[in-house]
Amino acid sequence: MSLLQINDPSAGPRPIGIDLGTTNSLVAYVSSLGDPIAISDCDGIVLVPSVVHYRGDRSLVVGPRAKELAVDFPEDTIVSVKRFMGRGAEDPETRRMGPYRFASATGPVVRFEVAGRGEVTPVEVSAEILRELKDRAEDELGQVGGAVITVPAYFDDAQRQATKDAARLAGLEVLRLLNEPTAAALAYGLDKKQNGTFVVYDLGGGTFDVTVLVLDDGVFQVKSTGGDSQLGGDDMDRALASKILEALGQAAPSPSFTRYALDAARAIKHALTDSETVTTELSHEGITQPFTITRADFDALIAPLLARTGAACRRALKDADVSAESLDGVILVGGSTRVPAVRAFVAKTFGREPLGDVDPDLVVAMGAALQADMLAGSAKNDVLLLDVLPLSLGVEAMGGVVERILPRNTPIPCEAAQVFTTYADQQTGFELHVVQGERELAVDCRSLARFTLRGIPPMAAGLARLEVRFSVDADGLLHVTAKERTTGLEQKVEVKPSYGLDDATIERMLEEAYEAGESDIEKRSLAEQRVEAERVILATDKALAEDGDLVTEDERTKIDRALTRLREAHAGTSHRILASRIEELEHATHEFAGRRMDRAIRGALRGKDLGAIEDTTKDARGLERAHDRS
Amino acid sequence: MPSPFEILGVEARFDLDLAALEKRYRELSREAHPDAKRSATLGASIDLNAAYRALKDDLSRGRALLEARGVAMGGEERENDPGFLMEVMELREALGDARDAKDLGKVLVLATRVRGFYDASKKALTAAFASSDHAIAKHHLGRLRYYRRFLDEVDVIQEENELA
Repeated sequence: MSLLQINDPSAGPRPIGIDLGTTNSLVAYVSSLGDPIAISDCDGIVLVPSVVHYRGDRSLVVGPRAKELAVDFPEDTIVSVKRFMGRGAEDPETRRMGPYRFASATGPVVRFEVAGRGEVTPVEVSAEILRELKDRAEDELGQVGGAVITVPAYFDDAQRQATKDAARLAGLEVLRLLNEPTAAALAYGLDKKQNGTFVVYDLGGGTFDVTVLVLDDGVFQVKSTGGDSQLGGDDMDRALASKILEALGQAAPSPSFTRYALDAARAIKHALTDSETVTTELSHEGITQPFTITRADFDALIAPLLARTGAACRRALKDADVSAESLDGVILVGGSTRVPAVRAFVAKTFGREPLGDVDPDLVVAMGAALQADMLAGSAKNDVLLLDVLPLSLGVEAMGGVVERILPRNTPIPCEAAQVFTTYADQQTGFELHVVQGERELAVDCRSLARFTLRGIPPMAAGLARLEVRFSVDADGLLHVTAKERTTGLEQKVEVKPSYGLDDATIERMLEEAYEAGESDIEKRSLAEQRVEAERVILATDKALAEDGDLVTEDERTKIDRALTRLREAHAGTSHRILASRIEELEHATHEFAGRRMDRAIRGALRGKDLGAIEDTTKDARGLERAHDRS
Repeated sequence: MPSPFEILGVEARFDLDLAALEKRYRELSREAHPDAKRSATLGASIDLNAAYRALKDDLSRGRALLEARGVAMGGEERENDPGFLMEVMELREALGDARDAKDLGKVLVLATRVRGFYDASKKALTAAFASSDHAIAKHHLGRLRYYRRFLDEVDVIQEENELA
């Protein structure tokens, strides 16, 4: 916490908006002037990689440092955890390319085996990301109030519930679960003050949403939504990673190779946004292989994925009863919409160029912050969001057929009642299987929960009239109540969720988190500083080995002393001491680093034409800096 | 319980201006949605949403209008005219064949034909409601339901085809 507190402490807790993304997450708030502002770290970076690294000493690291550790600790570093939210262990989605150790092959929830913790669930991993965002917000704002957390519009009930559970675990009060495309439209619409019918095409790291909505003087009415909660940039990476593993001759890749291939694929995908061809050298664990790919090759790889988004787009337009020609604009959201083939596909599908003045990474969090501000009561805008149920809700009837209770795209909040009866004399209990999805058979839909009704007064078969009420709240979450109509008795409903954690487990986790409390924050800072120390020590040793001749004797003494002091601090338990020693070492090596940079650039320029330099540095980090100097 | 027409404050007729209905729904949401007005109840918002949904759709609007006029539906509307049922059966058979043969062109031709039938029945329904001829209205509601199901199946086939 800085000594200079910019915010007025009497202002009280500030509501926040959180975009909990597959790849990156971020937190935003609304300033006293009414503008949404994304919170950045001390380096001015707003995106927090949604990566959690677990260490043997029970500590953990979240964000950019965790991301760096993923290659060396692929099994203990959970990347893209959002894809596992609300899913069962045997779900095919959890078995796709990835380096993880799973604790069990069956059960209602995925469990990762990680260092120091034994097993963790996706809810706990997500809670760590949310906690990190909450900490950032507290550093910036002092006190944090309630939070609006965004979810893909196409998330089903189990995935929404899991997200809410994660927020509770992170100690956040959830004001609302807001659909990502709606959040984006809110931020865009309020900024441009434009009315009309818009489509939001949101292709993120792991999920795809398409939403058709009408903006009418501050009312944002969602007309339809569609998508695929298992489709995103990760799938592009996987397709490309398969090619990379093939090139490296890895038919049965180790976790480390898998992580390397996925990371390399992502880097190449990014490079292909600006270049027609990428030539690079794949190199991992002693295997080296040149690799060239053109944008056309890549476009062909991802074409099947884009076709899937096209089908969802057409269905959303149809459900909204809107033609592509009558649209006033197409808003692109999500990092994956930077891929040129995606933009071209969207332009073709909707017959118009998408709007270019939206930051696809920030707009969702901005919208969430605006909504949080409104719900917390300090609204300066006369704005209202009207959203819909993304997937039909139904119950399993005789023969395994789904009886639809609330169809998709029903405006929420909504409610429907259904009357059931007993089929045996003196029957006092009744079980209902609730499913979500568009398919005709229950086995093809997502099983949400089994609701058991008890305490029905004993009567002859067929006499009891059980009225079961299904309500969906503004978060898109389902609640079930039941009443016996002849007696008017309210029935007890026991819920057994098909996926995710039951209430008792969440309560236990909450208690544990509460007990751990403060010491967790200390532990986390220490873990982060240790990781940073290890990185700095390694880099310094390597630099000295390579370019030791560039150091004066006096400098060398200082560097060695700083190294020793840092190693001592690394063995200790104070993250503050560790941080200051890291700074000490960086200070001691500062001029040496400058000389190394000069040498590297001279080396690159010698005897090579500019094109060759471009090629060798294309994927290198710090490319811009190197150019500035030359 | 007020009728959906009363909740939305629109005239109880079949040929509603749907764009105006939608606008009205948004205006009323400013009063009924708990996010907009602290005093609003969840129930009011749920009722408004249900009423809007009922009036937006031809079939459910027709049912709501019959009910508002005190005409009992007597369960789900059915069209029992043998000639009509025979025609629908043949259409569905043709659709099934086209689906199996993966002949999307044929599917689309059938869809266009049925859409024509749908529009014709809807026109007849509008006239029946206008002249309060509720027996005829029920017949045409029954027809709309069959045509609707047929067109839903066309959607499914189209989606299958797109993803294949």
